[in-house]
Amino acid sequence: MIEDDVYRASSQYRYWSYTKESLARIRQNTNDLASERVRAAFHRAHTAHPAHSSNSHNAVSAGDADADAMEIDVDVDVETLTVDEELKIVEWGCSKIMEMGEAMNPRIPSHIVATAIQYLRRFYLTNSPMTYHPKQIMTCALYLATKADHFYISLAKFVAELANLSEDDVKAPEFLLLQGLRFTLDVRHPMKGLAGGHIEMNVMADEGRLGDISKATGSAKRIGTAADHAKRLLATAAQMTDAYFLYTPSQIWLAAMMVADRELVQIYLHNKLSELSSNEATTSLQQKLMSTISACASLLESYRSPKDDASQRKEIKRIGKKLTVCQNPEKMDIVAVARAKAAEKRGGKDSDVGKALKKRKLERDMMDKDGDVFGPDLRNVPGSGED
Amino acid sequence: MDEEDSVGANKCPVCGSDPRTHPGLRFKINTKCYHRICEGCVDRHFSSGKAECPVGGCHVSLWKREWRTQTFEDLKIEREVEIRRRVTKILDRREEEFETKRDYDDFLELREELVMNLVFRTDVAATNRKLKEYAQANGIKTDPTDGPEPGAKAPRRKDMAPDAADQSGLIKGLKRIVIPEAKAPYDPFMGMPRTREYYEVKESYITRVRGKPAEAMLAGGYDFAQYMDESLLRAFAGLGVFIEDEMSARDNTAIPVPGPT
Repeated sequence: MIEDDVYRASSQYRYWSYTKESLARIRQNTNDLASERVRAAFHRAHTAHPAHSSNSHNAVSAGDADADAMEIDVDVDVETLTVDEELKIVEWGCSKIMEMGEAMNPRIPSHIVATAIQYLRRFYLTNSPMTYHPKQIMTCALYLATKADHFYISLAKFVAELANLSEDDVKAPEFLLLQGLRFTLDVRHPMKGLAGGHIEMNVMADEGRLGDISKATGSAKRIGTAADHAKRLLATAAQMTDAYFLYTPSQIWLAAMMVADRELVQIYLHNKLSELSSNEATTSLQQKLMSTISACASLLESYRSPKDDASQRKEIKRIGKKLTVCQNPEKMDIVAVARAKAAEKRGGKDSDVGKALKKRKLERDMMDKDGDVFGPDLRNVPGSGED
Repeated sequence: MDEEDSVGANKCPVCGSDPRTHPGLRFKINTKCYHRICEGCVDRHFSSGKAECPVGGCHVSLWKREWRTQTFEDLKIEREVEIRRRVTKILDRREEEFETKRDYDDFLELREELVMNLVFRTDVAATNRKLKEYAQANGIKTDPTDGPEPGAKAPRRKDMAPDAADQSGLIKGLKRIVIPEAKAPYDPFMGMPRTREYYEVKESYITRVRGKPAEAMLAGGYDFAQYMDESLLRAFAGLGVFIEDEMSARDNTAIPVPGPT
């Protein structure tokens, strides 16, 4: 179908669509890499400052050589997060973005919050929370989403809405985030599709094309409630699960509708597809579509908000504590990391200040060698007739 | 050549005016019979249209515009230059148009031969016919005063290949004409069809949206049909895309990892 090719042209399909297995594989790979780096970083930090331990959980008071040697061994065995724990932390970041969006004045629309959440999720496919903590990235993700989706808030205003946050904190990880997003800022959301589908369902019901569901049986109300429920699901469950990676937006909104009203979606899809053309390809497409949408629906249904689940809250707390221990010490200060990166990009290993000093020195040397650019003083010129 | 002869030759053959008695007398010539008469005679004979050359015994009919001032003192040279100009205007080929250098040299020789034929009046009729055929076959207008002949189509010779550069067959060894492939008009959608298959924006949809517009939709110039089209496109774009199947076919895990360095 033509519309399918339109979707296939999007960056969401080309770069950010995965099967369950490949998604798991990428996350495992990212986790392995990050764990390795965290261990290496701890090791480096320790060999650089043998006297004082940067690893606080391992209490070593004396600075003698034996203890150090022992500690290095322990350090290399830093307990890193597992893939599931990382995922939980990212989800915690997503819920924080949602809270931020609601707390803002003006309130950030849900589709922009959703964009920010997807940015965060995409970023943490190839980056680990052990390297960059989600709390460092999430404000930037939200700010980037407001810029990318035409809801521009000035940075000063954005920062003023949030406590304990400087402009640099928001700005610093921006390039990093963009890099992690592979510079694709387009997120195809199912919300707009839901609005279109809602209208079409209503029209079809009015025209008596939805079988039992018609104007006489209160179709508008039924469809309306289902759509409202679906909308809520899209704003929460669809964001907190991997739905965007695994399914297309049109499948997601139909799945959300299916969670709300299974029968309605079945009748709608059946009538819709048989109206298009009734041959074998359509029936097989319909079957496949139903199974895919059902799978997506069960994924959406399986989501439980940590707000109403005390055990999940506890789990998050535990992971948070664990993360403070195994956070990569070299990437803690995101502002400094970003600055160092920018300096490196601009001119090799030299920082700006060093470069400027070097240039000035070179100029002074040149001056000493050549004298003044306008030539030597006039009184030195023989025969100038001044005497 | 003494003084008397040159002065006598300078007289107008029609009215007998002499530059010595008429200071500022100017002569004109024509490129058909190359007779040289004074400006006054040209005005007198040709102001009422086409007329015969007034020099005794010459019956070439001429227009007034065909009389012009002489460029070279020697009329023979004047004539040869005129012939050369006419022939090179018709036989106008550059070296790049020929297959080989040899072909170009042959062409130059042919041109020289034709010029000399005309200059020395050998085979004038045959030479002129050749030139005319060539000019017609290649769409060259020989006389700028002649309008395009009605229904004048370059005569096609049966034995010539249709892509031969010279259809009259006078010049040999020209490169074949390569007609460039016609470019298709630019398509900004790069072949993507602009029709839709899953849906069709009907009037009933648009009236339904119009029924309860959101705040932004009340702005001037807001197009409800476009909104509906966009919503429906979003609703169905990718409906038949099964990522599980399509992504396992192409290995999407081999992505560049932009992770920390």
